[in-house]
Amino acid sequence: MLSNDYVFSYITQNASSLAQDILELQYSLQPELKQHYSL
Amino acid sequence: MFVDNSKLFTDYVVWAKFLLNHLKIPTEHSYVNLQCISQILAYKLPQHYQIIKAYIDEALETLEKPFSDSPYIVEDNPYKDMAQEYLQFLLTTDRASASTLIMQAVKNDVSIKDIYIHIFEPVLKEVGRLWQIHKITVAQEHYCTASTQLIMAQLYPFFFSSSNKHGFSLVAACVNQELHEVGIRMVADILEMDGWMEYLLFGSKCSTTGYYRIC
Repeated sequence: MLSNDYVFSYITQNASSLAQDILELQYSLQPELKQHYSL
Repeated sequence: MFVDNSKLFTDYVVWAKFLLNHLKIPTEHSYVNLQCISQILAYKLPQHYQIIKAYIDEALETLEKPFSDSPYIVEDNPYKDMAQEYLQFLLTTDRASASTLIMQAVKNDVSIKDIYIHIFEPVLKEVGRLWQIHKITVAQEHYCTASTQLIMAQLYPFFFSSSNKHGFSLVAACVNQELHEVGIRMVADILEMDGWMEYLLFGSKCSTTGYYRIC
């Protein structure tokens, strides 16, 4: 449970930067996705 | 993760997949997105990766299962007709009649908790589903939610006087950018009806720092 707590806290406290990293990685793999999200 | 229950995450992944499909974004993107989440978190939290992988694997499995698109106001709901009527009032922007329906139910000794669980909850979920499948607009969804919050406020005098206090306290909030506060508000209200000594609900967009400070 302690490890779970740590992961939960890390994700919630770094949500914005993690989301940005994930999105950039996904855009690099699927550049066509930008068109969908710009709709 | 905090409650060691992956269902919250997998439910959200399925919800997002369904929403994206209706926006003509194929499920393949959801798979890739989960793989990206996995890669980034493996890099950021290598020592905790097994915990994260369990959540990601379960979500990937869930994506393969067919998604149920059935309505939330179900046959075995003891207040099904009232819930349907309440929904129709909201969808026709007749907030006054929706309010009258609920206040009449209170006069007829329907418990506040039953109203929350058998009317508000399924109706708001149904409103969300109707938005998800593009049957109603965001504006209609917001009207239904705001109207229900107003009607909930009218019910507060009926449960604030509860004398069945047992000493437990709850601090509830929508952290960071979360705007959807009605669900946590309903949870907080029901706990208050069950005798929780106090709760503090800061509304939507409470900062994580502010939340920790109060706790």
